[in-house]
Amino acid sequence: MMKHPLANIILAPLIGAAVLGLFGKRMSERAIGIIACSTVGASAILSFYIFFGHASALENGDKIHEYLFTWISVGSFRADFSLLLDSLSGIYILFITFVAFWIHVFATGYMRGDKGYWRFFAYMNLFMFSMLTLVLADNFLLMFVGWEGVGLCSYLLIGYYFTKDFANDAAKKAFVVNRIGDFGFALGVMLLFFKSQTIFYFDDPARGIHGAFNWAMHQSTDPIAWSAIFAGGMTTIAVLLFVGATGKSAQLPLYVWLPDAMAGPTPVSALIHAATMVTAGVYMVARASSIYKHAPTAMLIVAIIGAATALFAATIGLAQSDIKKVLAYSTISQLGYMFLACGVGAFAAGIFHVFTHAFFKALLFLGSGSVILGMHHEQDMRRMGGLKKYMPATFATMFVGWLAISGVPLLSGFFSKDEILYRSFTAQGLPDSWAKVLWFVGAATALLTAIYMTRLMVMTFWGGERFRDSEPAPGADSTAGAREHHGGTPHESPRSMTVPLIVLAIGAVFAGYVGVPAGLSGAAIPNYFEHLLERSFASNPPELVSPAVPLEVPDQHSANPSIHPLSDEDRADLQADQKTEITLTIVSTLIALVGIGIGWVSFKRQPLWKPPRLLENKYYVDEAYDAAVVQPIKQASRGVLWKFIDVRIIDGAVNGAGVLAGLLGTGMRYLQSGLARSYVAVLVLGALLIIGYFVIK
Amino acid sequence: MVPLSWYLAVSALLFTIGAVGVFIKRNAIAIFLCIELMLNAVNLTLVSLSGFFGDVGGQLFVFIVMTVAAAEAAVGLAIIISIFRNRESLNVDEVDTLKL
Amino acid sequence: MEKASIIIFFVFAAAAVLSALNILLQRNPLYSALSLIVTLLSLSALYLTLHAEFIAVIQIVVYAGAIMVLFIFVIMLLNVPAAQPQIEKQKGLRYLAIPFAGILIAETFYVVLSIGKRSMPSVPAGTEAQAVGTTWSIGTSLFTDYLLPFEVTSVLILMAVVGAMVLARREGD
Repeated sequence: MMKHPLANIILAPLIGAAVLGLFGKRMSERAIGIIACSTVGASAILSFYIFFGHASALENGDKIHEYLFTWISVGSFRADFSLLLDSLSGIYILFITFVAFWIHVFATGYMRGDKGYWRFFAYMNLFMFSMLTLVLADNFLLMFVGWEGVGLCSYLLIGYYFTKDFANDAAKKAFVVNRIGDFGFALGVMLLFFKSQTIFYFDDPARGIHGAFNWAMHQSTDPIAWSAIFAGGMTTIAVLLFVGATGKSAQLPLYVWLPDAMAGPTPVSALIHAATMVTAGVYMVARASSIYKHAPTAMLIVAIIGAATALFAATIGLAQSDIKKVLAYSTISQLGYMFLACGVGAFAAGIFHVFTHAFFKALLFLGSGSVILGMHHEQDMRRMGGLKKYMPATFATMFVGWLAISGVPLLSGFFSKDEILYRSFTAQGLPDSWAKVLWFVGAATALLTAIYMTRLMVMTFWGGERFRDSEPAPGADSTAGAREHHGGTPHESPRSMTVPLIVLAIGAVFAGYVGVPAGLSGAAIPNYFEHLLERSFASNPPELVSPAVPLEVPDQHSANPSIHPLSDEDRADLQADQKTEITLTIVSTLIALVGIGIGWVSFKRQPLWKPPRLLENKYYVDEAYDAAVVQPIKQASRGVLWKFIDVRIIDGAVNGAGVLAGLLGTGMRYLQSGLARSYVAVLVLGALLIIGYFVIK
Repeated sequence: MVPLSWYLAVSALLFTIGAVGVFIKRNAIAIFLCIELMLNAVNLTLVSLSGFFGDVGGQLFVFIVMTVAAAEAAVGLAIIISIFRNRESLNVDEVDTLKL
Repeated sequence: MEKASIIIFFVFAAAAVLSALNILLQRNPLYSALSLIVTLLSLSALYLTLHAEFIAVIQIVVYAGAIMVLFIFVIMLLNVPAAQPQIEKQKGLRYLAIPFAGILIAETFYVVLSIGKRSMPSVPAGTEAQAVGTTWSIGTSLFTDYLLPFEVTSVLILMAVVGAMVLARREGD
């Protein structure tokens, strides 16, 4: 079993999915829950074991390959089912399995009593398998397998309540929009193969393969110009891959599926649409950092879209009254931060934010699930209020999550968000004053984040108990999830649900300490996170690093803080950076506190504040897409493809063949007159022809 | 001496007359007679070629052909008799129930 | 001598062709049958000019003597009045006769005339008995080289006899 340790991480949930899929219908809820959680738990334990077992090797930037079998080998194209553990994928499997385990535990309580209990957990385990495959793959094709797999599971899980139309529609929307992104992704991979003749990430001499990133290292950097996007080089590849990321990670313009995806059960939203699947896009961009570093135009695009999405989504989130929708837009917004980080070259900071976000966003979603369950499936915040005395555990843990996401100092969100803002402010290689603009957008978003999260907390947990009102809240919207009003007092959730909340809250508090930015502490507390990842994002692969070889692309910092002693000039540079960093940190803290203050004051006074119609209706983006894309396609399909091509041409051809046969038959009928004489005449005619043939020969 | 081609020419003529007769005549027995005529034309060809090349196989073939012609005449006339019993007429144009 | 053989040939050839034409032209099948007999006899004479004695005699005995007699018996048995207005369907066939005949004659004559003017070889004196066409030669070939076709032919005749009997009997016989 230890011959292929990485494979076992992937296989455990797959086995769980298979068992639950085949036999789950006859099992008890308890058995199903145990199987589902134990497979993920096993993956988690194994991940920790392997990661910390190889910790020093990973720190060095070594990559551990695990080859299972050759999947395709045609001509110069080769794709193996082989796994790669390096610091990037190692970190990912750690937090994915850990968070997923607690979400599974939560779900055993949340989904209790549902008839499709086994189906839910089978899909969840299948999802884990796909996600782990995506992260541990060592070539683009296998990653794409996992990519598609998570898309499939997302579809299955969003449409879990398949008797509801809006759930089915949401699932289809998610799948189709993802598919559009996947198209870009596939084109990017194909172009990469076309240029580099390989789709593996790194060289593996043991198997005789070359890596695309090793190839990329030797390419020249594309210029910053709009024309570079269409030139068919690195920038094109990078942009195409990013299109895939916009689909999977819900950025502009392909974010529209994520809010609708809230139709699925809350654990699904927590796992897939907060902590794991949506971060796959960030993972992919970070993984392909070598390519992006040679395509500064693409990085600029990534940064701009990330920042724009962050702000855009935050404005919409401010105006939503469904608790899950607020969190959905919040996710989109935070994902924008991650892409902003990658776009300015701070890949490690982006991944750090993925890491911390997984904790506090999962916490917030699960907390909202607890609230929803406690409110007997009510999701509209306008009907909540004053819940803090009915659901103390939920309240306490969500309190932590709220502070973390708002960027209150010393919690995890503070460190990661602050790092991103700092890096965008000080970004090199961007034209003109883009860096400052990006920082400003990020800061504005942080302010809005604090405001809307405070609104969420205030409307839910403080104030008057609006659920006791008999008439519905003004302007009740109809997009909430499964609704059954039992009325009555809200109740706290069982331990199976509160324990995961507590664990995640602890994570949300302390997860940030592994990545304290060097600037803040003056290298006193080492930035483990960044140090761990720096090798994965180094300009040159470890083997090629030597002082004499100039680095092809300058790093964002003049010196990466490491645990080795610093030289004097490094120390001077560090002090200058430190000043900027501390200034910006203070600004971020102020923003967070001011935001919370504004939110507290405004929404305590007026919890039922009516947001502007434009924001409430999400800028009418969905309606615009419907009119511009969906309706024309429907009309074209109906009018042209169906009525014309299918009915007239294809059916016409098939029916025509039949009609033709009939006509031929009617014609041939005349030959069979029943008269012997005519038969003989034909015979003689035939004989004449044959004789004639031989005569002429 | 009479050249071979003249014999073959006569044979060809007889054959043609027989072939035309088969689909001209409407009386069943007349048709049969024309068929016999065609067979005889072929016999003539065989015998003349056999004589010119000195091969007895041709004449043996004629022997067999005559035997077969006899057998065929017997059976064919039996059929004609049964048809006549059914329809009281020897006109082949009246036997056309196999048409579509 | 030469002239004689040519004259004989022409006489019998003309007889054969004219009587064959007469088969077509007669309306009464009985007259057609009689014309056929004349044709057979003429052919028999032609066989004799080809030194095929055995065949010639067999032709008269079997063909003209047995088969044609059978025909005439059947004609008389069926006793169809000749001059009835006959139903004719597909009258167009009648007009096909001349073109078909013309084409057929053209094709066959083309072949025939390309054979050239090869003549009958004269019979060598010393090998009179071995000459092709004598009973002796046919007999020996029939029972040695061509024994299998001979036997098969006898089976064929058996089938014909049985078939004729079955087909021609009345119901309840």
